[in-house]
Amino acid sequence: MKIDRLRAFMSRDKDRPRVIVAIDTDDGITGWGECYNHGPDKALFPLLDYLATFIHGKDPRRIEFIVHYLMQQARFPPGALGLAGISAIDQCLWDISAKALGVPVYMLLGGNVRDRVRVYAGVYTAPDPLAARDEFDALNAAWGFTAFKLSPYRIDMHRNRWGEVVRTSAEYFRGLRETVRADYDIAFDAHAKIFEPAQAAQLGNALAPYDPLFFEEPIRPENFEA
Amino acid sequence: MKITAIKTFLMHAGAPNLKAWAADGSFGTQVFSKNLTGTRNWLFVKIVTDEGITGIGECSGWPRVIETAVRDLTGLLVGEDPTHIERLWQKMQIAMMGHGMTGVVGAGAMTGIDMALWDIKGKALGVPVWNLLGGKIRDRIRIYGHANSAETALSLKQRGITAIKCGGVSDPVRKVAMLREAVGDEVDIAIDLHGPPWLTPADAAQLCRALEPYRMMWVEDPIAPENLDGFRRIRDASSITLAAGERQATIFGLRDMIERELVDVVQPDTGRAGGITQMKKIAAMAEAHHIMMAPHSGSLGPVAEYAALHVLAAIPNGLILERIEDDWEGRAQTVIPHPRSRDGHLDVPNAPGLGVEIDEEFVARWPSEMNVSVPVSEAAGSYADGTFHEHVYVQTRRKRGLYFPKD
Repeated sequence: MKIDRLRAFMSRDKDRPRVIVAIDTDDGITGWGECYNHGPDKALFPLLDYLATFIHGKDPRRIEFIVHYLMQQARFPPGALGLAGISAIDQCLWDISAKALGVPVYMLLGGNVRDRVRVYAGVYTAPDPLAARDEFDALNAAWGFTAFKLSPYRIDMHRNRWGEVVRTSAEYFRGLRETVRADYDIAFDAHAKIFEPAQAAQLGNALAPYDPLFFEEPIRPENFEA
Repeated sequence: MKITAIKTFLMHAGAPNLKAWAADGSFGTQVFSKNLTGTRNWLFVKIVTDEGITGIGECSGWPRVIETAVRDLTGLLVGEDPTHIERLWQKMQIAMMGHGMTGVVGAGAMTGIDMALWDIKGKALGVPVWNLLGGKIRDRIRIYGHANSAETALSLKQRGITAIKCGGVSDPVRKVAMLREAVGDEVDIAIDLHGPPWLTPADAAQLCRALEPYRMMWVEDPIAPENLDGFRRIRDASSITLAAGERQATIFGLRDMIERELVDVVQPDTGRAGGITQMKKIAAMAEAHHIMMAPHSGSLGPVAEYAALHVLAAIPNGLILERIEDDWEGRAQTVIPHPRSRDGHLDVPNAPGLGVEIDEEFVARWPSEMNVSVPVSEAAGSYADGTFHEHVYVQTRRKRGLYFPKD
């Protein structure tokens, strides 16, 4: 089996672009993958075209080999865009390998430990508690969601004193807990917007008494020591 | 598909010819019936399914004891779908957890079972196991042989072997110098110091420094595997390439050694590290630390060798495979087919599953008699003069002026 061509598509989910990749093989199997979209998403297309030149004619089932081969083409660490391209290719290759054998991908990863995977609903904003209650309940009724991820920010972090940002977030979470069903899990994503470790700790401490499921990206991802 | 039965096959395997073996007789020198020397045992596991597919695996890590462990684990596995390998591995680990930390004995039992499960899945899908591990990076695996004399080393070199390992601590620096002189610079040389009880960290540090000029492929197990701080001390003292890991099992057993970067080459044993499932994870942990993997297999039988070939085909950081080229003559009759090396390499098997079966009739001809021995003989000179019968686990070198050559 050999890789014949790579096709990339720009799609859209509401206001969010989606870059979908297909790899076709010479014996008719197509594998699908997706690039994480973090912008500039249109830059992924020439990047994928470039990566495709290296994998053409290769056996798509040699996944580990191909991923290392692509990594080696980068003189420096490939970074977010390069890895988004390679990730989509990697997914296509697993999809092809599994289709060739007639099994789901997890069967190539050691078999399934569980039969279903719990998911949380990404809300991403910080709706007022009553609106949040309605939204959570609607998501619960429609899909069975019992976990939700929100933004912790209720006021503009750049236009207000930091202490006020923290205080309003804590009050908001307390209000949420008093309003929504007690069995719901609530997570917060600070979106790596905070640069000061002490400020990230303050916000985390303010949310902690009301039991967040998790506190995501409290600090810039480059800052390992923080 | 369901597991219906698990069978075990324990056999007494002969020791390799001492001339061909780096360990100076570490299988013991006792003599058993049928002219067998030493206490090496091989344990094979066969998992039978209701669809007629069977899987074969091998356990090291004290095979004679592990046979009982495999029988005890069987009740957990009969009736289960053999394709959910990771779940079954977790189930076994949870079930034995109450007996204490999982070492090479418990992990050895899980290893043979895990290996057989991968064999079943490969056969069911009609693909070699490497195709379930991310595909093939390489088509053949470089091997190293064992040599303690110039004659053996040259014989291996003439057969195309490009790397050798010697062993023992009686006179390591002069032995390495002799081998380097014999084989020249193009052959890689490693030395196995077999862990304790012959060297303290300070002794090992001096020895490693003395070995630096010979550009070793690695120095293996210089001290006891428990002493990770001792490894740190050796590492700080010497630039030598260090290898270890054959006596630890599972990702948890090797975690500190890898994360603290105490070795350059990690050597989990394919028969007792927890199986193909664990070997793949250990390799990935090592890769993140730029550590290479060279699976231990000095005492292993021929089924685990197949498993090692599949793992080494699929992992990026696979370095080389240990192989006793002139092993006990019964080895070749134990499995079908028996792999032969070519140009210093073994071909990666391409038949479905592991690609190997055991000759059950042949295996049954060699019943196990004993599976423990005091390593090395008094004559090997591994212990300091006159101390062999003390049988201590920790000892420092004596006659240091003689032992550590001056610059």
